[in-house]
Amino acid sequence: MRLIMGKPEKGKPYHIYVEETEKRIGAFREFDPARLRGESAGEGPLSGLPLAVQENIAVRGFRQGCGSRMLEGFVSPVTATAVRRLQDRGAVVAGTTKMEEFGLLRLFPDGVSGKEGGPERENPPGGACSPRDDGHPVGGAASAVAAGMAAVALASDGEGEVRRDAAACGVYGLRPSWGVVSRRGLASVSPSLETVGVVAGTAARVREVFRIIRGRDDGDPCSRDHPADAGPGGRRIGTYRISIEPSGEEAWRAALDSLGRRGFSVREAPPPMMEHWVPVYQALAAAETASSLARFDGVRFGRRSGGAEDPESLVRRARGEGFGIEVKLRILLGTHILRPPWRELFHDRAVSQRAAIRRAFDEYFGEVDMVLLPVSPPSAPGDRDGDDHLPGWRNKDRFNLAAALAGLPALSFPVTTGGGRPVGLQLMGPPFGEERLFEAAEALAEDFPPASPPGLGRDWR
Amino acid sequence: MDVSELMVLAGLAGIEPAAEEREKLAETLGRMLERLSDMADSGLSGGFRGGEAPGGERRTPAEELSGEASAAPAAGRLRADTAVLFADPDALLKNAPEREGRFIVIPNIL
Repeated sequence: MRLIMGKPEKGKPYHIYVEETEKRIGAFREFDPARLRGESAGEGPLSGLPLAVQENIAVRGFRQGCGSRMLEGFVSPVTATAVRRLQDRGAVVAGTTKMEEFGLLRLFPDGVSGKEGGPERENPPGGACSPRDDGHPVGGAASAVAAGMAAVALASDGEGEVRRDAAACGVYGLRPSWGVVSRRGLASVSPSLETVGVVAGTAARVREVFRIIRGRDDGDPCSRDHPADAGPGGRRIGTYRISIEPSGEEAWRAALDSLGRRGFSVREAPPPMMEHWVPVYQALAAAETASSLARFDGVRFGRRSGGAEDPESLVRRARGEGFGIEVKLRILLGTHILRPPWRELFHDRAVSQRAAIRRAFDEYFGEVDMVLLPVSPPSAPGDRDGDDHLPGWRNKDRFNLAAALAGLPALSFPVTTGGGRPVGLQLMGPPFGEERLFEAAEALAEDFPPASPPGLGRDWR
Repeated sequence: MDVSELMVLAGLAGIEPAAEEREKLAETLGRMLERLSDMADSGLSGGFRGGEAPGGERRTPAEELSGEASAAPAAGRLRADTAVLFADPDALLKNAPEREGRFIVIPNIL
């Protein structure tokens, strides 16, 4: 319990530091390090390490609201396997963090009605972390780590949430290979796309936590062991050049120079089938969201509206009032493309195209060992590649989708040049290739050392 | 998509959108479906089009794709179909929105 019971760098007890910082940042949904302290192993490699858990990952006794009115007040009766594994090594759950509703990107930034004022709308990260360049708020998990209120955080990554938020906050974010980290306890909306990811201040910390939480779990029938011989080695890096605004461009060039100096071979090698990533992802994610959220009916748990005269209207009203408009949109789209005759036209073709994308990546990673991409790059003035597909969706955000479609690991890392704000880039590798991503990120950290958050003692870096 | 089509869809989805949301949802859904039509027309295929299986049985694309519907081929395994007692059933019941004792209340079906 070195940190929780001790003093952070500034000389303030940890809980006082968090209480003061939290007034500016608002990262936590619930903060209570004492609640589950007894469930953590007293000794271990992570002894006393404060862990933040995004509120769609179960922690027994904490609310698991998923940023939605639908689950307001829902208290988890179980703890997710990934959290449990960290507790067994000494980590202490400090609290749960805020998120967008079910982790879905906002498609209606201007809002439609006052009804979307669920608890997640209070989420004003600010403070340590600026809003993302695409205007979306930053999730609490990355905010808590960047501000030194937690040494590590677990959060889900489907559309790239972990990497986007980590990039915005200047910290590291890992989306593991699909299936390598148990999803038991994750309130998942798109099971074939989402993983439990890791946010921390350094690549070394991310690697340490990943090695603890990975591996088969009987509670998740899709989980699997990480092959012992996979990963390290590999110094061939492919890139894809896009137009981004000057600070991003400078960081991009600096990262390429750094990799070259450190013995990596970098060459232009566009990843395959980029034009298909967004529509295939949208079709699959919507179908899975409609199916996964069907269980939220206001009967056994979740929000219930008054005045329903029959079970059918009870369900329709509960879901109409409980879900925000972003979630409704995905459910409606998914329902549409799962019914005949559109199922074959949209859903089945998307599944088929996903298989094609995955195979193309298998070939691609025969030519290079990993690929360097932006995370969510700011647009250059006059760039016509900016707004595309839908309100709130930018064509450039597609860089976060490939990993979900092909089950690949991806690690975002900060690059800071000229004293400016950090710019997030990401390395993506073949399935089980996490180790080579860590190696490259640690090499880059020699030139772009991670910032030291104010709250945590250096022994927790 | 117009609002009347949207409401049919909402009925299937078990959702009652607020009146002020309906037009925006219908318009956005229409745009999304246009984009997805481009995908469907793209000609890209993972090689699954349904048809004759090796044993002569006819399969739909969906059946043929059943092993592909994840990020990793052939992922997933079955577990024993046995009941497992949950240690703290009261913790589950506490999350029910309306209860009478140990029963969850719903409106009358008949």
